[in-house]
Amino acid sequence: MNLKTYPLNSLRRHPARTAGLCVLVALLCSAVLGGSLVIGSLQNGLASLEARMGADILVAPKSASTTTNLEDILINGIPGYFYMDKSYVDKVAQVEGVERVSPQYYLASVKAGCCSMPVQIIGIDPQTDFTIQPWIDHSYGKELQRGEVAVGANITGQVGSTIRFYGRDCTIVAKLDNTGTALDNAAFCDVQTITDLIEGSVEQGIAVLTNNDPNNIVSTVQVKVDPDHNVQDVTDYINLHVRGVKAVRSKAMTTGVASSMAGISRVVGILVAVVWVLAVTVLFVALWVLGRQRTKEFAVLRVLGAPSNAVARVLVTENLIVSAVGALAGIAVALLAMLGFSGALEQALGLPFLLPSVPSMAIWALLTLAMALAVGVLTSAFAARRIAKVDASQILRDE
Amino acid sequence: MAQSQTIVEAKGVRKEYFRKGREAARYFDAVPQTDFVLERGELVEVTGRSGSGKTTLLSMLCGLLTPTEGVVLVDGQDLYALDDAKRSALRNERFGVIPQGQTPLADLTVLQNVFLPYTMYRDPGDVEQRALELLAVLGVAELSECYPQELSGGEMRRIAVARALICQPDVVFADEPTGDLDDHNTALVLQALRDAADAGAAVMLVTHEQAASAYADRLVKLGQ
Repeated sequence: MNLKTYPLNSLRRHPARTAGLCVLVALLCSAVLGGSLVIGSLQNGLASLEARMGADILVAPKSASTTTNLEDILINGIPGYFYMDKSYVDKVAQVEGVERVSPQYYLASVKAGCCSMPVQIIGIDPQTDFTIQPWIDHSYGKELQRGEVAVGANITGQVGSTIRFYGRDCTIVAKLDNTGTALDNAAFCDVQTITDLIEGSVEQGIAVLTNNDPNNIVSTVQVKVDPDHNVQDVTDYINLHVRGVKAVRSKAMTTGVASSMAGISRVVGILVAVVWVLAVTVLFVALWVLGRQRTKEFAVLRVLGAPSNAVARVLVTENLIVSAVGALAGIAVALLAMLGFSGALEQALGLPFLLPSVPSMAIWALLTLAMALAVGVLTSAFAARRIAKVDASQILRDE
Repeated sequence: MAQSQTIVEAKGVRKEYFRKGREAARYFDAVPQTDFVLERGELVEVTGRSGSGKTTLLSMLCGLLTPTEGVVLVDGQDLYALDDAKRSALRNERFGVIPQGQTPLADLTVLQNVFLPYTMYRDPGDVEQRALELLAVLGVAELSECYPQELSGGEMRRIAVARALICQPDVVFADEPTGDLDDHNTALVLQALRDAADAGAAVMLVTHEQAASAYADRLVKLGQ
């Protein structure tokens, strides 16, 4: 036993007091880290969604009440389909300012004997696609062939197994990285495969085609605008000069999501701030009261020859230990909760939700730990400063 | 009796306090200008009526309370010219202080209470053994593993005495060390202080205890 081991001994001798302070710090840290991870996951989800949207402009048939249907499919995860004539791909490509175009094909499977499960099926042209293919490349590294599908992270089914859509068996060749968006519930295939599946759905009387030729339809045209042109100008031009289609800026589709996210992030941020202020206040008051109660103890240490800064260090060290233990507990709780319930959170929020990467979470956890230690030092510094100035002779005489 | 040699000398020390009165704030002297000397090997009994400044003088001499005026010299070194760290180290290394009241640290066992002053600045070595011997001299060895909450007032006083003697100090400042003790234990404590003086320490004993004079070399009455 010496002055260095004195703080640890003191904490051990008062388990209830120590546990109470640890719980306070744990609450503070779990709120801060949990809240930060929720906000970070929403921002990640939005970034992921924007990356998957990829195109500057989406062109869809006017009759499809474009934004609603597209948002249902791409953002809200409600399977659906709509088609227009394939010639629109070339028409849009010829618009001034359009750098690249690529068609996409949508088909919804159904919950019936013909299909394994109801999902959104999205066909892409691997040769021209610039939104989905990079994502597939990351997980698969090859072009999809006829009869092959790559599935989103939430689709059940292992790589190598088959999945049945409209009476046709498709082989799952890849499971894509989680994006936290509705696209995690979709299956992706090439043009030939989606054409086969649309034919199958037509045979079963489910998909309705405007021209009855599955080889001559597309659902949307993804447009990349030349950097020298204004996206809004190109969008307006398409809407004015290409009849029968509706062009929508991708950003317009994500604006609603971003707005919802901003609202939720704000609420979470306020809750975190409230918990933070409350916890720091309670911690500060608790330490101040405890410091007052222990004035005589610290006066005795001074009498025995402890310098004032060593006595102050006793209190600061105790608080650092409490802060470290409480912070680690709070961080563990927040991480376990986020890892365990991120799916439930995503469903409850109804917004793209993608947990940050492990290194990012580790950095957040370290920042939370550093914050807790800083709060621990600062809250005890006031009490320690008072104790350091204590008039030991006066206190002991007052006893 | 041991040979006299000055170790602590107070020259013209005075302590003034500010007291808020009902009508007007005013200052008062807790200790008027005083000279005081402690010599090696002597036990000085300090008495005086309540409020005469005994404890205040002791606090100034042991480096806990800066005098308003005057100097405290320890072997010729001005105690209050030292910074807090050096003065604290000196108090630990050369002084043993027995404060008024019950002062064992509640979170430490009796044994830990006794040897803590030693381990503040030194490797423990065989300090536990010496602490047990001191506790035995004071009749409380069997309580070494107890916590202060389990002790009587008199037992706590004896632990404070043992704690003050553990570093074999050059000077012992004892403020009412026999306050809660019966005659037998009073004799034990006073004898322990006498033994410290006989071993070469200077002992300042602030007390109202009648029996103390039998152990003292010199009597100083304050407030006269």
